[in-house]
Amino acid sequence: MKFTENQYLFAHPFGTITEANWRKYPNEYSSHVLSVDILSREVCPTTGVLRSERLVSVKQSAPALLRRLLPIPEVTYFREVSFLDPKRKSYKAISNNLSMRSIVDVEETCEFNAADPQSPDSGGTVFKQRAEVNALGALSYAARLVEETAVSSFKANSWKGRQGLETVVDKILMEAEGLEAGFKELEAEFKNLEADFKEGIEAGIEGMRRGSVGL
Amino acid sequence: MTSISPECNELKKQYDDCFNKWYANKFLQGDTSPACEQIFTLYRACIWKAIKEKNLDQLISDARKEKPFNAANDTSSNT
Repeated sequence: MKFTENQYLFAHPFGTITEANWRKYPNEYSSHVLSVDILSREVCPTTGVLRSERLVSVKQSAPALLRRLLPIPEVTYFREVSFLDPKRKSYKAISNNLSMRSIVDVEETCEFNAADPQSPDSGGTVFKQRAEVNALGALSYAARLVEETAVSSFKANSWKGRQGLETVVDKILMEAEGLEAGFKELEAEFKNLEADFKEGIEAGIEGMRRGSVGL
Repeated sequence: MTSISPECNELKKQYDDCFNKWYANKFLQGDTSPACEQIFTLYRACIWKAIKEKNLDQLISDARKEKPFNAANDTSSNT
């Protein structure tokens, strides 16, 4: 079993972040995500929680060595179930691979929570993401390779996912406040981008080299 | 974002536009009564046809059985 996680504070309120998250694809960092469909969606009449079930298809580019060892399809499918509680200002999504289940189980969890639930409009939004990868035949060389590949792809894609979400947030803010206000926001985000730049280049190169397994 | 089937793209766009407006202007403001039901029914019929053609229906129903995630607390083992 391989496991990885990370955490990040978005400087936007829960409402903006989750609005952007629904509209996240496509974005300039998401060329590996081919399609997103909503399988089911309902609001629980007693709790008011919005449950969504989505089908996501992702383009794979596994290392050549792995392709020789295993029948890896070009497109893999993931099922994502999410719960959004508007009162608690919390969102949680769990994704599992539908394809290649006889080889590997990839489970990714994403959470957004208002940093300060008492004043959700001012404290920003905490993003937590984790992935757990379990390859069948855990002792074999191929299994270890599958797990390592999946985890390194996840790391690369999680950076792309975050940057992609930021670009959608910018789009929403520009729509809402007009161009002038939007540009100010971009300027502020530029500092975050600068700080992430080094990590981003590394992750991007790694992502291109390894291809993608996670979302 | 495009749908699993190009045939469903237009319905998906209409549904997404409806949902995104509802989410921002109603749901987040405390009005959780459902909306967009009619277009969702049409869109879902379209994608389920594509899902069956791609033989994904069995994979989805297996996943629903294995990990139903019917309520938020179903997922607590993963936190």
